[in-house]
Amino acid sequence: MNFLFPLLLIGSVLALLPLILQIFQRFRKKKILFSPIFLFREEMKQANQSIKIKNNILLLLRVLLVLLIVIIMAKPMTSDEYRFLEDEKARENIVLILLDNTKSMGLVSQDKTLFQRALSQLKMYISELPLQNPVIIEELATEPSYPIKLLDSKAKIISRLGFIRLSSAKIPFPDRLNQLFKELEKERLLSKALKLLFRQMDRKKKEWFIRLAEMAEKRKNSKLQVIMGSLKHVSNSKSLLDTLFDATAKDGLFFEALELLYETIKTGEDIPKVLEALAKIDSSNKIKSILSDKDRLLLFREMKAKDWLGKRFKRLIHDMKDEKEIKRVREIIAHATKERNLKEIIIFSDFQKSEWEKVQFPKSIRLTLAKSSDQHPANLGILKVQTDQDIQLAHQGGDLKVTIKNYGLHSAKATLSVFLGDQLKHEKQIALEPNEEKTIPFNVVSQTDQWVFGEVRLLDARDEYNEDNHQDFSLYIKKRINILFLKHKDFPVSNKSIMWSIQSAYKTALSSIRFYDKLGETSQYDFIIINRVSQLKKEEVRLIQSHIGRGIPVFILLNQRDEAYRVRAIFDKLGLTEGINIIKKKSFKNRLSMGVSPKLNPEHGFYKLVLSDQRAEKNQRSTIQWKVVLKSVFDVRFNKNQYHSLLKGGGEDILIQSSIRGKNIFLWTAGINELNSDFINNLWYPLIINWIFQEGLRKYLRHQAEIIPELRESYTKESNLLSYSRDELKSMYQIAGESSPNVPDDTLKWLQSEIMRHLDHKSQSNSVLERVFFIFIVLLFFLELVFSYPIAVKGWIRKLK
Amino acid sequence: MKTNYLDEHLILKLSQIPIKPLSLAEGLFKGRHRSKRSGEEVEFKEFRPYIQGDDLKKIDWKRSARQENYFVKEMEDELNYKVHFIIDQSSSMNQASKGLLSKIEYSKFLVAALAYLFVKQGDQVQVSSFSNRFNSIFKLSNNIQKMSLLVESLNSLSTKGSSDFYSLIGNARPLRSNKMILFLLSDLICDPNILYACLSKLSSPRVKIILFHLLSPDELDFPFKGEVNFIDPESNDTFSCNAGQIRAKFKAQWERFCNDLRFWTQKWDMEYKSFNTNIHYSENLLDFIKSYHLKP
Repeated sequence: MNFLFPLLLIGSVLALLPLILQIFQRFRKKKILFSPIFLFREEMKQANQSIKIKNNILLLLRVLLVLLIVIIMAKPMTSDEYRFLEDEKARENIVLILLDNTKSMGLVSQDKTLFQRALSQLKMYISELPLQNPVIIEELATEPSYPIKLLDSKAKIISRLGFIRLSSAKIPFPDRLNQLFKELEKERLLSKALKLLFRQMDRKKKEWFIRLAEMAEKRKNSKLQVIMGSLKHVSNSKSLLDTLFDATAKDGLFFEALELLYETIKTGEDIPKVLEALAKIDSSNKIKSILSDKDRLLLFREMKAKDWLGKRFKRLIHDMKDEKEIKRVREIIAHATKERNLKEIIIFSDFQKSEWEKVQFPKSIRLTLAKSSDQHPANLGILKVQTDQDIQLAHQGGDLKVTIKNYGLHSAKATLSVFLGDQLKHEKQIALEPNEEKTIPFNVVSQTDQWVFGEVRLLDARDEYNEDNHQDFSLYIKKRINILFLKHKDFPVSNKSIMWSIQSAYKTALSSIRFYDKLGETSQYDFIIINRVSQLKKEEVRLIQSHIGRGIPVFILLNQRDEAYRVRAIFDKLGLTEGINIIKKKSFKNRLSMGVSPKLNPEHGFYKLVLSDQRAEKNQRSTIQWKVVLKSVFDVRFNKNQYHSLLKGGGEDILIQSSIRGKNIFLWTAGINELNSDFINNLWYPLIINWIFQEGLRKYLRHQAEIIPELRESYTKESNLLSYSRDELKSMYQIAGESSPNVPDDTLKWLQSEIMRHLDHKSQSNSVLERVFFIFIVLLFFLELVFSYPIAVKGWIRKLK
Repeated sequence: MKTNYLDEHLILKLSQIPIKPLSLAEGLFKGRHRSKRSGEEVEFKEFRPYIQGDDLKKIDWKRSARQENYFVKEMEDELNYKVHFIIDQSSSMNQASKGLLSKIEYSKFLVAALAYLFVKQGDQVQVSSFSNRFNSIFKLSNNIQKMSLLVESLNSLSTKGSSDFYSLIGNARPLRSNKMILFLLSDLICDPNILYACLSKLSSPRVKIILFHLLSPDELDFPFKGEVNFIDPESNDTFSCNAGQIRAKFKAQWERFCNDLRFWTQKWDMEYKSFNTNIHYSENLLDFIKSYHLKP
């Protein structure tokens, strides 16, 4: 007998419980020395015997009861139709062979190249494998192919080995392997989920599943099978299905869309919504063409998936009467539901151990490192790129310096490239001896409004590419920046001096700044600076909110004249209150102080200035030494003492930078009282703005460019992104970021949850065996009652009488 | 720890009541009690004609000369009693209810007290015990000095084995030739058939048998409830059963057993007295002696 949940059979240990209880009871029984029992010794003997028999029967009954319950919970399967699932073949143990065919494997040692040795060892290993054990051979220096190819005969494997040659291709290591393992894990989970799903289905659904497998077999696509299956759940339009089939086969994007669809579908009612959403991003307008037929859309809306499914199954069963056909289909389904386990990974490579440590190997597998590759450590050089921080400040040529060092044991070649936009502007090749260090200057053309970024690559003597030897330096500089300054009348700094500060901070002539009293159309601006946030109107707050949603940096300058409660309310609306600490100081009337101190990066070697307030004695808050990076202050040649004295005469607080929420909101406060002083008007605020551009802007840009490269274009171009809702955008990101030709993890989760859903008892009680067991259990309970409580029952009857 | 089974208070009480058995007993030494048996020494009883086999010493030659026939002079002798205590030593005697004396301890107190009384009156006392075997633990003596010896030997008496009434008969029979009082202290735990057979054999016109039946309150009340493992102390057999279930049955059976005993002992002219260990032995004993004494 086979069980669906054989692990639950461990529960049969519980059958020992009655036994233990009985033994325990025997010990617990009162023992009394009592001589007069001689009077009815014979009778007692008989009674004793009957008690023993009764106890034994009870024990047996209880043990049986427990065992039966355990068996029922383990769900026994005897029917022939499940047998193939229990077959050993239903579980495939895959052996994954990773063969490093990079050029370094061509190193000759002991008359043979490493690669040859690896091959001979591999052949030996393969000869030891059982016949038709599935094997995957992955060449590290060859482009991976998905879905993964399984080789299930020795002849195939050997012939495949004959084709493997050393290659000088790049290896995106270890991402390449991680992707592979992910793929295999997905495959395994999917196959396991399918297998389980199939087991849980009732007869009707099984038939449906078989049919599905048949279709998939025809189309040679197992993932398609799953997707089509889900679609069939919810659709009864045959023509639509066929159209979808065609579209799936041709259009990659549509395939992804289908995956998303598959992921999202939980009830039939979701379909139209999802399809509509998909239509918006459908490049080839295929869904649109399908959906344009209004009748079909209606069909979608009105159909009830479950009813349809029931009818469909009935027909399927009706159709399938030929035993031969059923048998054949069963074979197909058995193949489709094979569980594929990655059993072993064998690696033939000369990469360093540290490299392999980066690979996230799947758990619970045997990892074999072939000896021949283990003996030869990697010897490639490691590159260090040092970029001059001033590159963003300079607007002349030669503003980029890259220092390269070869840490490897071999001589290496470095390739340095600088791009403007997507175009390659500069490329240099330098030879580097081991431990040699070179600094290469680059002339970056600053008179451009495009993005600038650079790349450096290092190749070793054998022209072998190694992930370790590649380093991009991300200098994403946009040369023209549109800035909007929402400047209220009371802002003490003149437009001219702001311009000056931006110029001095950014050192580019291509910045443009506009000053407004009122916030209006803002989509073309890259940055927004707001002074007097407390005076913002409702409409303006909404606009800022949309900016935050888009990821546009918003700089908010706070000063003591902003009313705390008003600022708080606006921040609430903007969703910024989280993580920010606005304290209204009693002694400082309405002054705000932002309680977030900037993080200092010691590597940058910034100056630090510790300022403490004059009333340090009285105010606990101000005794905290506020560390502020004031690099830009010193950049404009400000004397430390001078600055300090100015502060003494003027205000108490200093500016505090705080970035919150997705790093695109920057808050600044400058609590200087003496607004009329020249220092404030001509220096202090410009300094703040200068600093904004020095640090905040640069950081922001880098962050944006690194995290979402796709967004780069949409920011520079005039886009209609605002017309989308936030959710739509989100789904777009998802598609853009997560799209892959494979079933996503969530799908697998969904499948698993589906399995749980299918675990309803109604469909399970079909099994005759289970019913019989159930009857037995009831019977046993009855017997148990009869045997164990006759006295109690008699007592009750007596009481009733 | 040694126990002094001689309870002074009890003895003080008892000493005021002389024990007078109904039937006279034979004794070797002079005693307080009159003996029907004619002897050599004491008072004249009657002359009777000589019968062949009579001791020639006993012929009263003066009378014979006068009457020209042989006459034998019969004398009346004042004799002391021979009192034999037999204690049941079987394991069942070890049974004790909570906080009470075990049956054997109880009987030891009884024996000590009675023995002391008898010896003080000048009677000869002998103490024996029996279980599988018959043991003499105190030899026949009327020496009051030896009472301490009796206490000591009682102390060394412990329970063992099962009560074999056949051994009792086998060993008590020789004593039967002499007239005596026989105290049998036992719980009479034995197959009733064997018990009655033995008792019937033991009964004799020359021996006054007094049967002290020792009972524990457990036996009388049967207070057990629930599933209980009863262990027979003599055979070590275990019987598990529901005590509540067999209570009524047991009580009926037990009553019948006791009634039978009473009936048969009466028939065989034995004194039957049941002692509940629940009641203090002094009370029980006084009660017994009083009733015994008052008997016509």
